[in-house]
Amino acid sequence: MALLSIAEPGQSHSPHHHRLAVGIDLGTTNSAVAAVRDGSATVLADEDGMRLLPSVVQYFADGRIEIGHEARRNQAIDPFNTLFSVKRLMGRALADLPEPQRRAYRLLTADGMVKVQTIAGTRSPVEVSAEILKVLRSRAERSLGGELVGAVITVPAYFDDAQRHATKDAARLAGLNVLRLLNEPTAAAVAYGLERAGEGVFAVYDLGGGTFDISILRLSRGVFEVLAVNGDSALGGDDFDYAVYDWIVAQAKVTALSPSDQRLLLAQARSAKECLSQQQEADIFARLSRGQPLNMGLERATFDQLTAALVAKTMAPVRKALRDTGLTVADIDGVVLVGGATRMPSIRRAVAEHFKREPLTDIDPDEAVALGAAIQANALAGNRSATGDWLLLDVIPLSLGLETLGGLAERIIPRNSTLPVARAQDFTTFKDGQTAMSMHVVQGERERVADCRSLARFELRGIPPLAAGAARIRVTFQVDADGLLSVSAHEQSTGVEASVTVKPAYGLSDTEIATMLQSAHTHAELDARLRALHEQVVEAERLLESIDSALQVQSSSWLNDAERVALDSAMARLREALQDSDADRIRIAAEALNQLSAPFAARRMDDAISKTLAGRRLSDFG
Amino acid sequence: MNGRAPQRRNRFLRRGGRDPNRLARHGKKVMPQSYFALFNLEPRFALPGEQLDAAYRQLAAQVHPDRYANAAPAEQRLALSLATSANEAYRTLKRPLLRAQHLLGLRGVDVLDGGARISQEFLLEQMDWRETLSDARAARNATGLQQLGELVRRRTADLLQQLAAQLDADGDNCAAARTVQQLMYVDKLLFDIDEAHALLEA
Repeated sequence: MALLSIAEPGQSHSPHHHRLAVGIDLGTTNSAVAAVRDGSATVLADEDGMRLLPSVVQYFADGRIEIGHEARRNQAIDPFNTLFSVKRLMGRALADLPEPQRRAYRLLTADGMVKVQTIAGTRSPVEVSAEILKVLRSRAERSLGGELVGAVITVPAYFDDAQRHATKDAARLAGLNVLRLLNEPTAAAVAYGLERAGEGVFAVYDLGGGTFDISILRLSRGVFEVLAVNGDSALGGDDFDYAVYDWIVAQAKVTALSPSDQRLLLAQARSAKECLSQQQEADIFARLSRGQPLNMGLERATFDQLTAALVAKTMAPVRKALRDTGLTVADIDGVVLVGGATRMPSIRRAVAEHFKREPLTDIDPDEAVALGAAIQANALAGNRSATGDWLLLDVIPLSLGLETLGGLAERIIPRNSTLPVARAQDFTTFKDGQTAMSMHVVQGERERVADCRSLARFELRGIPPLAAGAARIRVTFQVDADGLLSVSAHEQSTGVEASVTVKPAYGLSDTEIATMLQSAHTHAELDARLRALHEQVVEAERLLESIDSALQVQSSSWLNDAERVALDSAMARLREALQDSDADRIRIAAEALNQLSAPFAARRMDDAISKTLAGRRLSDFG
Repeated sequence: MNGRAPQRRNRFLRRGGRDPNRLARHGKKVMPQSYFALFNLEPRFALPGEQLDAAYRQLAAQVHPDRYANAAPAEQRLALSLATSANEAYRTLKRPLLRAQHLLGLRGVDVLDGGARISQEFLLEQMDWRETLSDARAARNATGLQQLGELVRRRTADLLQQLAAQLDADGDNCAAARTVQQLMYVDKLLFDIDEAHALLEA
């Protein structure tokens, strides 16, 4: 029997048993857990009926931990032990963080990554996030009445590899089996798409507490195909709070605020922002710790002014994403708003203006992501779906590459490649007898490695000692369905295989490893771009030189005036291109000159041969 | 089983399954199999987008790692590499330039092998366009970039039409290889124009 009953992959082995799986939106400001029950996805509430869990964790000296609403209320009382917006610290080093976040916590650097000092000891953002996930996990298990087989955890689409790894680790630490990391806008699209059975191209504009994503998807016959994503993983509703906070501080002319006062005013700024989504004016009232009362009104027009630059900042990624798809605004069939921050009227206006249509908001923007994740979790767990067969095809948000000579990033997997994806590239040795090569894996769109995110460094040893350029090292990048990268390298010229597989770890300190590797550093990286330019330059100069010398000898017999003019102009163009150090232009100009001069070279050769035949010796031409 | 055809998947597994990393490791240099065959498509340049989309979706629905979230690790690894191959095949066939290169590769013609001669006029035009691009980039001239982009896109459309005739009707692989080479110039230029656009907005 066992041999005959081969289960369809993805199907439950015991079809009558519903496997419990949840979707979790681990948000900057709020988190939520949802599950599919009786065929439809619902957000699970706590015992008080609250559906959202504030992503705030308070540590006490006795080891007790408070998470959620209570912790959020305690922010101003115990600012340094009450941690909020920890998502913005995930997979980040201290140097990555903008000023407002640095002043909000007692931060320190451990193993190159940022950690937070609390009364209960030092905590990593991963550990803090795990506390939030544990609460959601037990809420789900209580609510669903059983142990979970797994969870889909959502991440901002624009999260890089380090941030994804950190999120997955937090889930594991919370005792969750991660079925998949799912991009937040994709999750929202699932919630919308399956609900409405829509077809067409949709844009999901997702502005959360600390991250911004724009995602363009095509929905067609049950397939959600992400065409492009873009965003800013350090831009969100929080930044609007800080803008209001700065305004309050400036208006009140207060200086040297205590940490408690800072947190108090930040909370006031947040509620003023939220209030302004409903009303034209918000009252801000607070009593500072020294007894000084604060009372002011903030008008929506002023708020819009204060935050106009932030709204505008979201539009550049929108344009980039659209350009990557090759589509225009007219091709978009619908725009979905996700994330609490999209309640702001200024955001809705800006989105409506850009896409020339009113955005869809009929699913609660705070819940859409968790609902979509629950639907995906249900499918991954192997439960039959009421909505039939459907498939998610997501993409990698940022290009992946290797550092090459001169500190440049060589792109190996371009952004917006459909997952899973693998790409290989060959490299070679730079020096004779070189036996090791160090690899630096980076992520980002910028040319210079310094402007990209460093993911991992590793060294390939045991390369057979050969002449420079003889070894063939193939580096393969594989990105799985979670958007996580693994890298391997093989030397293949001699059949001797040296290989290493690296999972880039967010916990690795770049500087540390860099120091470790320094002694063995072999300048092995070959910069394809610089090298290409160098080769073009050398070749072009050789070409120019050979034609010049040929022209000097004698040209009248094999070149008429018009041809001479054409040749001179082609040479001038090549010299011009050389001055600009533009490899492509040099290549094209050299190709043109080469082809133009080829027939003349042939004539010159004929000339030479005929002269030889006329009785002169070859040595006369030396 | 649910009516899905397991034989189809099995056949595919047998074909691609010997070395799951074959495609990934060897990248584009080695042509291990026909991407057309992978999708059960005729090896022709003319390929209606919907036909390819439908074939890809059918395959992706069977091999995507999401379908194996509960499967044994070995099966998951296999799904990963099969889905990776399907994506690579789709990407290749989706883009006319890569599709033509792949088709020529299947006919034993390596476009990158050189030999094909590109006309002087074409190269001169390329140089002009490159200069226009670098001028527009330096002057941060978005309209200039836009106009150049449109011009180059029109040229691309013409070249693709020419290529379709050469590959499908005439079966003239040498002429097609020349056109492909020209398209590579044009394609790189379009990419650089887009990058210049992005830079303007940054």
